[in-house]
Amino acid sequence: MWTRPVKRGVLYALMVGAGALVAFPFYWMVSSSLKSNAEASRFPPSLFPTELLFGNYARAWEATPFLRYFINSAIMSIGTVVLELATATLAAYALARMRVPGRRWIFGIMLATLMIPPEAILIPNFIIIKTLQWYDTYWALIIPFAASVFAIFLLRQTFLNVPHELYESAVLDGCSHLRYLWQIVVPLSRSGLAVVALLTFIRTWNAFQWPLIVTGSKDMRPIQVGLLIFQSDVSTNYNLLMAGSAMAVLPLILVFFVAQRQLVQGIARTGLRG
Amino acid sequence: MPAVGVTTRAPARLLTRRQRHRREALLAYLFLLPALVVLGAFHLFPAFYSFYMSLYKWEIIQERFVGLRNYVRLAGDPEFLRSLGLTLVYVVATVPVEMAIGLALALLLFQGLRARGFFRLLYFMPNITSLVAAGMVWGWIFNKDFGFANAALEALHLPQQRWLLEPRGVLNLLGLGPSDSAPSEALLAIILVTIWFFLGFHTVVYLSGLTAIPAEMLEAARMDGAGGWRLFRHITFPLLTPTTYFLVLVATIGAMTSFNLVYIMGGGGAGGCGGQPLGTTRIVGLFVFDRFWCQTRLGYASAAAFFLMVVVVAITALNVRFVGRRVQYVD
Repeated sequence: MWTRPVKRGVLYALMVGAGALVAFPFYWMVSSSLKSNAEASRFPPSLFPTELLFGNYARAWEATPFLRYFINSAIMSIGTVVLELATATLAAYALARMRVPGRRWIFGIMLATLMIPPEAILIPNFIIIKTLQWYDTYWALIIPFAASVFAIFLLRQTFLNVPHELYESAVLDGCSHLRYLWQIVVPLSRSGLAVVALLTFIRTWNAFQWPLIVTGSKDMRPIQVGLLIFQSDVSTNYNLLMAGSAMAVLPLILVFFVAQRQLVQGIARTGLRG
Repeated sequence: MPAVGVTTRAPARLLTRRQRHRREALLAYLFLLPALVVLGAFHLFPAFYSFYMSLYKWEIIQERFVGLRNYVRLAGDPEFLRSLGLTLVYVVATVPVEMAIGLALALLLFQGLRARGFFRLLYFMPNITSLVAAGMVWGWIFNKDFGFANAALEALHLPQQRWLLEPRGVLNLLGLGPSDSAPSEALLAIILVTIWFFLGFHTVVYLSGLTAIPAEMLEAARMDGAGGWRLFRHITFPLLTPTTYFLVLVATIGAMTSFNLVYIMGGGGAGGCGGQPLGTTRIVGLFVFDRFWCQTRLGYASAAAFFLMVVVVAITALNVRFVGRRVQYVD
């Protein structure tokens, strides 16, 4: 009975079935977002909307300052990625290719930092932000994440894969470390840098708890916090809530499809759980 | 003096080796400085400062030094102890299940079926959505009046549930335990969503581990007649041990320090502090947040947060000790 084609068939069925189960909430989100409020409040719910009300998205957009939220998320995420890449590239290069007296100590400090869960240092960081008068500013959203040990270690591995002979010949031409880094190592490390940029962007875009406590006004709130506020704004208009959620998720879904390979590789290598 | 037309700076041999090394070291420190400043200021220093804060009676402002009193209070605080218990339930209910499903899916994808790349992405898709959006969508699915979950139950002729509003224990609803047994149905719903969210992560990492197994080993075993389950049990799974250890550590710490999803689905937002209904979803992260943000008891909350940090560090350190080599970051 368990012939090869039957086995194969079962495997395919399992794979597709699991895929359907995992993907279902996405389908439900989108289909609910296109229903009228009356239809969304029907029980049992319809599996497919009777009418595709794309206008719900416009209504959700207007009901709450989504544009502002998106801009804030973009500034926060792009700013963090840029700074993190900058600090991590310099630090990783120093640890990979330069003489660093006391490098074991520095590694030790970085490893120790890795073990500290961010949730545990929320309160002191909040006090620091308040003291610096960065509350409700982009500084508070970006600067604390401007360096990442994961990024440094990953980039260090990447840089170590750039053959050192290149440096030796560059030095004979009078090249400084900085020029070598910028003109030779970085261009050859594009995939490592892309992985760091990607993972950081996703993590920052989805950040919630920290932005929740350091932003206070609609002008500064990123999309995840905005979505929560939107939930109370729309109360029982679940179709609009689903539209808002879909809009919050869409940018990352696009990024995901564009950069799938690097993303999956990056996750497998670093184990960043999201 | 360098001749005109030469574009380099002072030729290397004008400095002694020692001087060159010192210059390089200085430059290296300069390169390291930005990262170290940020890490020091926003990661290391706060870790110590958290302990410092926990030694004070600190509500809106810093008041008086009280030594370890906050910790003594925590030890006797039934809500804190309850949050520890709920966290344990949450970890035990999510981590093994996510990993098992993740491994099963990885094995499935490893069989060389067509379109496996597409399905790998599909399984991973929940992971890139935010926990907030996931909480919203699943909150809607679990809505007691209009949600899909109850519609499915009705189609199966099973009783409707209150899901995220149900504080009674799952065991109780099955007739197997008292009404305050953990997890509550609400926490169970959150557990299910957590598993959905993270299974793709385990699939991706396990798949990476599977492809690292030398094909010859699997071939040789198959030629010796080992198939299916025996192959898995005696060859594949043991060879995946490092991956498994790694995932257990990462997933456990992640679950222990969870906040976002549990907060959103536990009634967070709209002025609430999560942990609903009736505190049955208040895991440690939510307890700390509640004491900090809603009750403004910073010293007390810091003590709980510091305790959590110590547990996490201890687990990580023990894991490194017993498992030996850490994942490939340091040379």
